[in-house]
Amino acid sequence: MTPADATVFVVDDDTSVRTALKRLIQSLGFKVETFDSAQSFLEHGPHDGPACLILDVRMPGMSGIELQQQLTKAGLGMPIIFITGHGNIPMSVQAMKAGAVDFIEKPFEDQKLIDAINLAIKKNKKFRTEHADIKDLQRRVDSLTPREHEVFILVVSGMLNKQIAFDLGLSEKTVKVHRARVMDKMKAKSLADLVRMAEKAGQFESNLKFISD
Amino acid sequence: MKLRMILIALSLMAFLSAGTGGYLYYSSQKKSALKEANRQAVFHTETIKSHLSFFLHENLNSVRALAGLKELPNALSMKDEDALARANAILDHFKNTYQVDVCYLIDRDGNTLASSNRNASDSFVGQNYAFRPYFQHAIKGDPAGYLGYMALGVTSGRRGIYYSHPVYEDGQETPAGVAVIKAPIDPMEREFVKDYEGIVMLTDPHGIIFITNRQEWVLHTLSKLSSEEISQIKGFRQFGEGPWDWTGLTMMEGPHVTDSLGDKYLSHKLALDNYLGWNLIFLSDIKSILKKVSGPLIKISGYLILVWCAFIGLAVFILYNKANREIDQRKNAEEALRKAHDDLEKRVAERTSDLTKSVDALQTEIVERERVEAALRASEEKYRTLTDNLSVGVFRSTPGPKGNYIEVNSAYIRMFGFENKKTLLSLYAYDHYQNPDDRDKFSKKMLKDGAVKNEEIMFKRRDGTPFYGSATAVAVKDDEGQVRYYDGILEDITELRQAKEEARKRREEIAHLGRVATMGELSASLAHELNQPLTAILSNAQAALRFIAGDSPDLNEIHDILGDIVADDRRAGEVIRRLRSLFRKGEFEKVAVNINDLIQEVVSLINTEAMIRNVSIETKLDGSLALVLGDRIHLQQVMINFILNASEAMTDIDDAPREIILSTSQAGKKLVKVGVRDSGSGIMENKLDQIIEPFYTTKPDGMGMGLSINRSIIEAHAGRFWAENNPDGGATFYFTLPIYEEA
Repeated sequence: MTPADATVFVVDDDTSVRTALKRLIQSLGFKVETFDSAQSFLEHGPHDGPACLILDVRMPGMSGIELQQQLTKAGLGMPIIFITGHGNIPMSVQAMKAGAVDFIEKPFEDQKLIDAINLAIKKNKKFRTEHADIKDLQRRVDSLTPREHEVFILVVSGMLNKQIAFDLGLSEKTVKVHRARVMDKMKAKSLADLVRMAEKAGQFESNLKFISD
Repeated sequence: MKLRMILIALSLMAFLSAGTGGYLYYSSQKKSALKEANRQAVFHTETIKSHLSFFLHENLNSVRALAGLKELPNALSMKDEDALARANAILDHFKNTYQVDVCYLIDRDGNTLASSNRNASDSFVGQNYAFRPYFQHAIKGDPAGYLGYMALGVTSGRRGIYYSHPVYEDGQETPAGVAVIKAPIDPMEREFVKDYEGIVMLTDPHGIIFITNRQEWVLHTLSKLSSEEISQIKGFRQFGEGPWDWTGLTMMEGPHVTDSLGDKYLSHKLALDNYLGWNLIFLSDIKSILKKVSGPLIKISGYLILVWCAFIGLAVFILYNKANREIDQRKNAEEALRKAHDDLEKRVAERTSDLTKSVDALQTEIVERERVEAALRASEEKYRTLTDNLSVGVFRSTPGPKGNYIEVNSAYIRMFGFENKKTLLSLYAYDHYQNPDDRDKFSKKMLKDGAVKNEEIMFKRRDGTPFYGSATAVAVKDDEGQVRYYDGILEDITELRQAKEEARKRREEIAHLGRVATMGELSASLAHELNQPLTAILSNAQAALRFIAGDSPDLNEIHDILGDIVADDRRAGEVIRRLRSLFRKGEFEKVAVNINDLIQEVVSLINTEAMIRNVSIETKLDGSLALVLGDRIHLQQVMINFILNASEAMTDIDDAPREIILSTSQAGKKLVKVGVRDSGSGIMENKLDQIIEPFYTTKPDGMGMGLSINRSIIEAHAGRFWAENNPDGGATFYFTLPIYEEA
C-alpha cells in the first residue's frame, strides 16, 4: 500500500495554514484536498477510497467538533485528526471520545502529523474492509422475499418451525421450504452462522439505510 | 353886602385855612405812611432773603453726601444694569428722604445715566444737561458752583433749585460725573405769598421775575428787553424758551415805579448774597398807602363845600366840629398803627417759631443723615469683610502687559505669600507669573474675549515657590469701550491639581488592569491568531525541507514557500504589535483620532474571539465623520469592553443570529456618537439607568469592571454613555466623544 492510494482532506479557514499543510502532506506522497469550511467539505459529498480528515477545531460557521458529530452520525468511518490553535482538555476529551484519531496543537512537528495521518489511514482501511462485509450481508438480506424475510427474523429469534407456522398461519412444510431458501440465499452454513449474520446486519441496519438514501 | 363879603371872606378864609391845614396835615400823614411802607418793605425783604438763603443752601450737604456714595462712580464706570440699578436705588432713597423733586446722575458728557424719575414720562434719563451751569461748574470740580441754581426745568417745565456735586472715581483727580438734586421752589414761593401790602419779586440779573406773589408776572421782565438780551437769555436756557413778556413797569425818579396802568409804586430792592445780580424787590402800592391817609380828607372837603354853599355862619362850628373829627380820626389812625405794630410783633413771633421749627427739622435731618451714612458705612464694611472672608482671591487690576493692582482681598494677599496689601500693590501683576509669557497670553485673551473662565496659570509666591491658580475674570470697559481694568477671582488649585493627578494615575492603573483582564479573556483567540501564522510557517518550512531532500526539487515551489513564510511571519508580527499597543501601560494622551479606523482595528483584533463565540460583527460607520479627541489605547479598550459585553449578552441566544453592529455618527457639531448594538435579550427597563453606576454588571457572574472602566474612560474624555433597548430586541450601548478642534 502506498500513500498515493489515500486521500487526506484538510479543513481549515486559514488560507496560509491550508496551503502549508497541503504542501507538507503532498511531500509525504498523499493526495490532498483542502476546504475552507465544514460546510464546503460536506457539500463535496462522500468519498470512495481510503482517506482521513485533518480538521481545525475553531472555524466560523460550523466548528470542527460539530462536523465530527455529523460525520459520526453518518457512519462514514472517516478518521479525524483535530488540529487546534488553542485547545483545552475538556474539548480534546470530547473529541477523542467521539472517535478522533488525534488532537494536535498548532504549531506541530511534521512527524507528529505524519504519524497521525498514517494511523488514521490504517483505521480507515480497516473500517472500509468491515464496511464491505456488512454491505455484502445486507445485499443477501435484500434478496429475500417478504415472506422469507419474516421467516428469517423469526428463525434467528430462536422460534421452532411449528411455532413460526402457527404465527404466520402457514403449514410447517411451507415454513421448512422458506427456511431452506433463507439458509441458501444467506449462504449460512448453520443456524448459528445465520444468527451471527443477522446480528451483524441488524447492528448497522440504520446506518446502511442512511448510506443508501 | 358887607356881611356877605365878610361871610365870603370868612368862608374863603375858613376854606383856605381848612384847605391849608388839611393839606399840611395830609402831607405830614402821607410822609409818615410812606415811611412806614418803606419800613415794612425793608422788613419783609430782609425776612424773605434770610429764608431764601436757607432754602438755597438746604440741599448742599445732601448732594455732597449723595456724590460721595460708591454706587454713583460705580454706575459711571460700569454702566451695566446692575450698577445702574444700585445707583437708582440710592437716588430714590435720597429723593424720598429729602422730599425733593428729582435726584439724578450725569456722566462727564452731560448725559443723564440714572434718575429717580426714570419711570416717569418726563424722565431725565438720556437727557443731556451739559449746558447747565450747575453741571459745568461741578464737572470742573469748581466748589463755587455748588450753591443751589435756580432755573426752569427744560424737561419738566417746572421751576426748581438744582444742587450739584462732582462724582469722583476711586483715586481719580477729575470728576467722572455729577450728582444733582432738583428741589421744588414751593417752600420759597410760600414766603412770597404771605399777606404783604405790595408786590414781592425775586429777579435775576436780567430782571426776569423768578418768583413773585403776583402769579401772572412769573417769568416776566422788570423792564422791556431788547432782542439781543432776549436771544442771550435764550442761549442760557435758564428760563426755558421765553417769551418773557414785559410787566409794563417803568422806573421813575428815585424809588418810584409806575405800571402799565400808570399806578405808582414805591420800590425797595435788596440784593441776594452769593447770587450776583439777583434781587428781591418789594413794590409798595402808593395809591393804597395814600388811600389810608386821603380817605378821611375827602370826606372832610365835602362838608366844607356844603358849609360854603349853605351855612357860612356855621363855618366856625363846622371847623370846630371838623377839629373834633380830626382828633378822632387821628386816634383811629394811631390805633390802626398800633394794631399794625402788634401784628408785626405777632408775625415776628410766628416767624421765630417757624425758624425754630426749621432748625429742629434741620437737626432731625442731620441725625437722619448721619444714620444713613452710618448704614452705608456698615454696608460697605459688610461687603469689605465679605470679600475679605472669602477663601478665593479677589482682584482688580489694570490691563496691559504688566498690570497694576487696584484692589485685592485678604485671601489674594495670603495666596501670594504677602503680609500686607501695600507690598503686594507695589508690584506689578506681571511679577507674580512663573512664566512671564503667560501674563501676555492672559492679557491678550482678556482683550480679545473680554473674559476668561477657570484659566489655569502658574504663579509664584513671594518666596518664589510656584503654584497653580485658576483665574476667572472679566474686562471692565468705560464709555469709549476702552478696557479700564480686569475684575476677577483667583483660586489656588495646586492641591486640587495634585489630587486630580493622583486620581488620573489611579484611573490609568485601573484601566491597565482592565486591559490585562481583557487580555486574559481574549487569550484563547489571541493564541489562535498567533498560532495560525506560526503553524503555516513551520509546516511550510518542513515541507520545503522535504522537497529539497527529494531528487529534483521544484525551485518555483520552494520560492513560493519562502514567500509565504515571510508573509506569515509579518502577519504574526502584526498581531504582536496590535497586542503590545493595546496592553502598553502608557500615559493618557489625547490626540486626534479617526474613530472609524480605530473601530476597524479593534474588529480585526477581536474577530477571532467573536468567531469563537459564534458572534458576527458588522460595522455601519459614517465615512464623513470628524476626528475625535481621545486616547487611542483607552478608546480601543472601551470598544473591546463594549463588544465583549455585547457578546456576553448573547450567550443564551441559540435560535437566532448573534449579531453585533458597531455604528458611528455625528451627534451635533461638537460630538461623535458610537453605538454597540447586540441582538441579545435586552436590559430590564428599570436597570437601564443603573448601567452607568460603578460596578453595575449585566452578567450574572461579572464584576462590573468593564462598564466601570468604560465609564471612567469616557468621562475622562468629557463624553457620556448610556444604553437603550432596541425596538426589535437586544440593547445598544452608546457613548459620545468630543470632536477634535484645531487650536
